[in-house]
Amino acid sequence: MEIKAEQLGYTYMAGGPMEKVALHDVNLEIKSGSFVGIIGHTGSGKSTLIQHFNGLMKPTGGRLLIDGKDITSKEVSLRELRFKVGMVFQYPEHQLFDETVYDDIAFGPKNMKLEESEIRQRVQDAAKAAQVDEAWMDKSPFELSGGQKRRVAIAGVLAMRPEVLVLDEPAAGLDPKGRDEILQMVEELHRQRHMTVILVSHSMEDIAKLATQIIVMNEGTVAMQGTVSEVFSRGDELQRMGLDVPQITLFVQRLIQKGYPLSKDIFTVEQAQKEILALFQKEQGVKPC
Amino acid sequence: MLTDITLGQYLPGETVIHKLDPRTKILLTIAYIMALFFVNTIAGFALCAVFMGCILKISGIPLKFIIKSIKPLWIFVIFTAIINIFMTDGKIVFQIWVIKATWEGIYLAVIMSLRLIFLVMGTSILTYTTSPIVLTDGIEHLLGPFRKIKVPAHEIAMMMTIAIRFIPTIIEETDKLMKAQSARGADFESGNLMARAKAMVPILVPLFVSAFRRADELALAMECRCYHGGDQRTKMKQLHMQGRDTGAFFIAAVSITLLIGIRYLPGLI
Ligand SMILES: Nc1ncnc2c1ncn2[C@@H]1O[C@H](COP(=O)(O)OP(=O)(O)OP(=O)(O)O)[C@@H](O)[C@H]1O
Ligand SMILES: [Mg+2]
Repeated sequence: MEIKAEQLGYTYMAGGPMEKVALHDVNLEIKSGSFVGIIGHTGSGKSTLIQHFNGLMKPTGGRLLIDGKDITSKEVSLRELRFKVGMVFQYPEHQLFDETVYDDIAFGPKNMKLEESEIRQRVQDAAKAAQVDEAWMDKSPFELSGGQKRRVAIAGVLAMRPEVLVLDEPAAGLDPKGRDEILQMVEELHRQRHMTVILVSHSMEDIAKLATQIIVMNEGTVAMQGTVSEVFSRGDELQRMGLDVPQITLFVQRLIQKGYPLSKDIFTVEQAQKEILALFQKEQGVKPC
Repeated sequence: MLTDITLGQYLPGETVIHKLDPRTKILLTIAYIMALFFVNTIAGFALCAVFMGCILKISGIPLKFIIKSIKPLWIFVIFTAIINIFMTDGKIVFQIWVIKATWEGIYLAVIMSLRLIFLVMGTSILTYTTSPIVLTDGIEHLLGPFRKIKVPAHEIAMMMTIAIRFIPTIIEETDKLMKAQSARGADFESGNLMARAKAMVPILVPLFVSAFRRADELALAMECRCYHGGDQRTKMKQLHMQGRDTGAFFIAAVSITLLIGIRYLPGLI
């Protein structure tokens, strides 16, 4: 499924006294099967942008095309689009409502009017993917902890088996272990089920580790777009937008300035480790312990 | 979606009307409403329109906003008009079967509709020029004397302030929840009444849960800062009546006398 924005714009409360232009002249393309990271400082329009992808918001200017079709045209059924593009909002645990965890995860598939057996299958499948414990299924979602609730909420979206998964800061407010688990889950969904993933995050490290493409939002429009190395090689510009490159990249850049022959395209700790160890071996001819 | 609604209609400004003491504005609005019930001639309402026009001009509120505030009224206006036109006895204009419209009825309908419109106009000028917080402060002061008969004036005002404070938060939250549930295919727009009521459950449950959570947190935060209501509580911002308030009372007294006078005047001459 391909998502394409052409001169897309969105204005909150258009025409009112509190009018606010949140997006303007956004052009972008997201290919099927890619993993796209969206970064940008607070208020740059990330959340507003992603809500266009499943038709929750309609552009007030320009167009949004899904597989070449305008989402505002009659050809596109918004309901079906919502099942195809799964959207995990910021703090999704706040949207749980049903009596049991099972029923809550089944809410989406039930709205799709699927067979009972199919629903059961999907709920179990989604629960497994989102690491929702079998033992929680008959509990009330309100008995769970924040991190556990979040997994249930994500499972609720996965149960619809979307082709595209959009996540708005899924790791915000979790402890390091919770973060890693959620991000690992997203990574697996992309790798094993070939889902297109769109991830909004404030963590350059997470984006560097997971994404293949990066979209940088600044003041309501796309400031940069490209591969991880293309975007992170423009560190100065990012810094001017209140963003940054991963810490490890800064570290490696310092080493390069000191004269160590390292690659500029290092964005994760694992890459850096490999490169630096290789350098040690070459210079000293010994294998460091 | 929901966020397009502007709630809490306060339009900040620096005019005399904005700066009047909230107590003055509340009392005068009440007096104005009572006076409206004495007005029963077209001439009276014309005078009313002139007063309102002056106040609007001084307060700098665009006419657009006043029209917006009386727009939701048209159902009531039509309803009272119909009842009045057909239910009043008098000289018949036309008659369909047993239903008859009378001249007196039409006259009464016009008067009643105008009264309703002017009533809402007056109160919306109050809310347009006074911030909700100042307004509740004024109400608290006005209720002060009733504390002797155990009316919890301060508590009532505090509850109103908190309720007003949380209206935008709750609207925002409802909007978020509606989006989140529609993303999972929830449908709020089709189906019969039962189906629609049921569709609200996924919104209402989390909304209540978070409202209770917020209330809990707020109560805790207030207690941590040793909040307590009651007699010994002092205020950082004291309300003081000023020269302009005296002026307002004077102008209002003259205007209201005129309004009521216009009703009895023709009889006296
Ligand atoms: N409901 C709304 N009504 C009016 N303006 C809004 C609304 N939601 C967002 N905005 C404005 O639109 C702009 C973009 O907001 P958006 O939520 O998309 O930012 P964001 O990039 O997601 O920020 P964050 O990183 O803090 O989540 C902001 O300037 C914000 O003030
Ligand atoms: Mg956001």
